[in-house]
Amino acid sequence: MGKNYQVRIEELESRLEEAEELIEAIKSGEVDAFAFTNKDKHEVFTLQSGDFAYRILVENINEGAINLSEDGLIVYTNKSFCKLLELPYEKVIGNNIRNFIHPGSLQAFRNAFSTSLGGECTGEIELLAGAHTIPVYISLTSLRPSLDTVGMIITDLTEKKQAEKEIAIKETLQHQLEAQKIHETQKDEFLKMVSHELKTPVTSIKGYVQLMLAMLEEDHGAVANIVKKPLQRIENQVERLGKLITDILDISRLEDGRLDMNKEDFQLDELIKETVQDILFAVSSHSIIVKESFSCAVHADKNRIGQVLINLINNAIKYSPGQNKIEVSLSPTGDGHAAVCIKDYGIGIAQEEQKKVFQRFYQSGGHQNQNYTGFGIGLYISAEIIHRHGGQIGVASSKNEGSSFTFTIPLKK
Amino acid sequence: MNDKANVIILDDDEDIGLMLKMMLEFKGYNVTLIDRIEKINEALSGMHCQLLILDMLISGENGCDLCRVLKSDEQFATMPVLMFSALPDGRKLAMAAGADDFIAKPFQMNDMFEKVEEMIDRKTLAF
Repeated sequence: MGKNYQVRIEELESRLEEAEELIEAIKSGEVDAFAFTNKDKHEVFTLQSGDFAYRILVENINEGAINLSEDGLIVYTNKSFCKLLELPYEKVIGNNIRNFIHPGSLQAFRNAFSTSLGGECTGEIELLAGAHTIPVYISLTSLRPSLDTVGMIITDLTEKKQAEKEIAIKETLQHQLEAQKIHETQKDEFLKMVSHELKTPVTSIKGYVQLMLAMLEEDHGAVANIVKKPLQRIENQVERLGKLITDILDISRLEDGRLDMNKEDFQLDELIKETVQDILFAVSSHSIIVKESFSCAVHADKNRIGQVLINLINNAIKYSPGQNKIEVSLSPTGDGHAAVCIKDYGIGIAQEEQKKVFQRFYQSGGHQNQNYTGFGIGLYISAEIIHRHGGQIGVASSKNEGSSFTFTIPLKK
Repeated sequence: MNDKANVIILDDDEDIGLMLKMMLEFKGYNVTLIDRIEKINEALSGMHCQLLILDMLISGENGCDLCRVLKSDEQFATMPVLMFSALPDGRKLAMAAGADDFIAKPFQMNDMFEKVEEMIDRKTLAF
């Protein structure tokens, strides 16, 4: 009897040890389910309450979660990873992870994977999904000793990279804009400097020459008579030089779109009268007649319109040697504009050249024509000024019969 | 025409300053030429100046600043100031500084005479 008790106690102790081991196994997560066998049925009890939450979590997180065998086979994948690769589950599971990695990232992945076999590793690689690549952040963790696999969490970085790219593009554009601004400011400063430095000596020469001519006006002595003519020539040449400098600077500003128009209300008929008088003051070779006019108020840049008038009248003088008549007329167009026409009876412009005369650096007869010097920019600038005012400019001409240049500008509303 | 009216020219460019002085003296004005902004007080204290012809760039300094100072000074606010410059936006800058008129370099001598005469006459009439 005593022996029976002994056996019974040992048996109970052994069962107690088994139960303790089982509890330890459950605690350490080695047990997924219990299977009980009774006389008539088998019953399986899973430990759902324990790992169900984890499964749900891994299945439903936005990040891809996969489990890789030591040779890189995907032994588990959640839905998010399949969605990321745009592939059905069965094309992902059992496949080797390297088939989904961009060749450029393969070496980096291999390194990360071997590192993770001894612990864990993180990094950024690119995955292949069909024709396009997906930048991802990966976190690899060895699941040893429980499993001989490596767990990998994959975070899609597409949006993050896109945002970074947009910021980079924005910054580049910003830099370019700033550089352009600096360039424009530098150019502006340069133009200002050139303008100042070129015009200063011209101012001085012109002033002294005009002063000397004024001083000699009443002097009819022998010396005075000899120097008057050369002084007048110097005055003409320096006048030309001054005009060229102004034209070149105007072109620079025109091309930058920075030739400002300072508009004001004024009488165009009076401006024409004054301009003709000013030109006649210096020109004796031609008579300039204001043939037709009307009281005409406009809202425009008076100096610039004056510049156009001077350009056109000076051209008429220049291209009508041997003729002495130039006619200026001002008339309403009937559609809210005023038309100014400057007519000469000079050499005229051939039909094929008429459209080209408003082009930059174009000159009638070409640059070889030594009779008519200049840069060929006066008409280009005039046309730009008229267009900036919302007007039109054109020419009607016949070879050897003269030219009529006409421009229109809107009347004051 | 106001003979012997007092005009001060402030320009650091010797050629232009001298040329302008000769021009205005030729027209009968009493002209004082100075080449530095620091000399303006001395020049102004010695006479009743009826016109100041002021360059915009004077040895790295800004004539516009001087114009502003004078125009805000009760004693000189009514003294006409004619600014001149070769800068492309000279007129705009001069007007913003409170100058009474502006003439661009290079100028026609007759335009200069007209402006000077008109500004001195205008001021004389105002008295």
